[in-house]
Amino acid sequence: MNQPLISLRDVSMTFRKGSPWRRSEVRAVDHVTLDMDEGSILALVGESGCGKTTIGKAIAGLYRPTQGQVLYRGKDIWKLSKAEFRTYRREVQLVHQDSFAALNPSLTIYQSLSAPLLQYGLVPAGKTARTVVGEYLEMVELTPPDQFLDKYPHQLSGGQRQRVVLARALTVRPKLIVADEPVSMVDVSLRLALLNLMARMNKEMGVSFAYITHDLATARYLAGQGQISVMYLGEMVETGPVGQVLATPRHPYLQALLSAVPVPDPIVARSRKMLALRSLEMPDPGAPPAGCRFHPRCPYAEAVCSSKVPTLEAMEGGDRVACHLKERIPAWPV
Amino acid sequence: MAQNTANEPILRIRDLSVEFTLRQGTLRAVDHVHLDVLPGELLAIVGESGSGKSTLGYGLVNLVSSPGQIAGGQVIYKNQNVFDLSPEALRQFRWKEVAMVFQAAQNAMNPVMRIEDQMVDTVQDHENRPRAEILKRATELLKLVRLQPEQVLKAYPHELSGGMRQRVIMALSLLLNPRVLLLDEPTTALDVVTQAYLLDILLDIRAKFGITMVFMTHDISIVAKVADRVAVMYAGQIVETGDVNEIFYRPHHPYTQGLIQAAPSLVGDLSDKRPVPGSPPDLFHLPTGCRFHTRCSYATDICRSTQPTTTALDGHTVACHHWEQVLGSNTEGSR
Repeated sequence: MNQPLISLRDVSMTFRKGSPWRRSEVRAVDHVTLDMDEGSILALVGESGCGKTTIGKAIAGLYRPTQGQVLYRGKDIWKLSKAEFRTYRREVQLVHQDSFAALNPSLTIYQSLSAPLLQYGLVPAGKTARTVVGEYLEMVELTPPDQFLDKYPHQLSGGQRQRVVLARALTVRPKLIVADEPVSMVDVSLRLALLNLMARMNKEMGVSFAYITHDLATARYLAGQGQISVMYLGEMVETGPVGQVLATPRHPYLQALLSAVPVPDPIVARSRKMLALRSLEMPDPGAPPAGCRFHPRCPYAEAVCSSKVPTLEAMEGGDRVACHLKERIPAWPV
Repeated sequence: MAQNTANEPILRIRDLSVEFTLRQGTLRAVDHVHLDVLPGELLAIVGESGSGKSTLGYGLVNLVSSPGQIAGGQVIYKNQNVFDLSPEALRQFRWKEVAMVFQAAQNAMNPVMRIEDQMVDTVQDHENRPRAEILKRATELLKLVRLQPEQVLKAYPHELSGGMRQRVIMALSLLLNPRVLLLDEPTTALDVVTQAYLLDILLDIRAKFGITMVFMTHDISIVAKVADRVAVMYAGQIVETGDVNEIFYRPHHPYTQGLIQAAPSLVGDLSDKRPVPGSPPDLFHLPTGCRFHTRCSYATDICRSTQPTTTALDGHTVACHHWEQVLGSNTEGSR
């Protein structure tokens, strides 16, 4: 039996905000359950405020959920022994949007990349740390490595810096990389090359990716054969195999989101119709609507939607949808 | 689109250069740009960060601020060079003739003034009109950008979401009935759904007022839906201009072709997607010859030694030594 690499069991995450005398709570993630197999790619998609980054941080062990469990190879990460936790921390790496903030500006690329190698004793006997760092730079296509080893982060372009960050994550031989909007600050002409690099790391080295993004087009590109989970205001609204979920979206929110994604083809772009929502404004995540959180904007909402919270239920073909009206929602042409 | 070619351009950019003098030396962010904006069209200027598209936008309204300066050229509006206008004439030209919505425009609002007061203030700074009349007009415009006027007019900026603020700015920019609207990355900070609505609103505004729009963006996917014409910028220069369908289906410049092939899409086959190799150049150390040659698969010796001149075709311009070859390579993939 295959054990998932990482599992979230009914995870909720509540943040407290405000001053001590006007305390309020924001539930950023609400009862989310998901599994990721070793070697897989999961795209976690949603707009700002949907909780996707919070989930990423919970997977990477940076946030401790206020409810539910995060399991790594079947074990609750917050109940691991010190040695086990250290292994988990090494095997699950986080790469985020801003590569400039992720690298110490006063260290050279060699210094930044050799630190984790030395820390975990990962330099094989007979090799120098410099050779090993050079090999990792070659893996992320920064060649020849000698041109990059002694440079500082500010001397590299955004795309090159993000490659350095990926190389640094690789140095500790991770099983899973949580990549939170890794290409959104990179120039458009360089994004595809970075996505290709991540796909190669997955294929050739077996590294799993949790790809967190607001961009459905890049999710489709990177996670084509993998899974996708779509979030709205802290809840998962639809999840399943990427090809199927994007070809036959069932949840009205996902339909609206897909119909809003720009398509780089004038004839197709002009022929597409947007699913009209009842309201343009995203509700305040601090005071989410009762029942289905999407109901105030949903063009199909009925009475039940404002009173009862829908749960994810399996549909034909393997995707799961959280919508009371899922059988009756008309197909939306993509 | 086609009938516009007969029209006189509303804005003519002639040989415009903008330079920044920095510690490391002088950098030319906009280099000899030649571009016409036709009345009523939506012209998209596409370029990556550092391509000079925003600087070009600031240049159009003579708003380049130190350490930048206009290093040469003209922007001609109604037979007058914008750079020769008196301070008062320039003040009237901005907002009344050409209004701007810049990238972080949402943050440009006065945080301690209600929206209605900012609206009145903006208009009365240019024209002597009674408050009631201005608010009536503001109400119409807020409805047009799909906001609820009663609620928004009384609000302070912080009470509105980013998408709402961006739409307020858009309404504000239309208050003085400008003939041209400059939009610099107006949707970049917004969510996907909000962005799609904003683009729809822009198309509404254009249909209703026939206003000319210049839309600067890094995102070629957005352009496909809204633009009539597209100008592609690379390293401070315009490398190609043309009708939107021509640009997408029959690109003449290898960079344009590369950008389109590198844009992930929700529809169609992904197997013909290819990244553009290399990185955009450092403007302090530009390559010799054609600035794109280091990333270009068509490059030959002449590209390394000689800057290409701009070839004008029917409604299309391109600056590439090998444009005919690039154009020929499109046939298999184009419709």
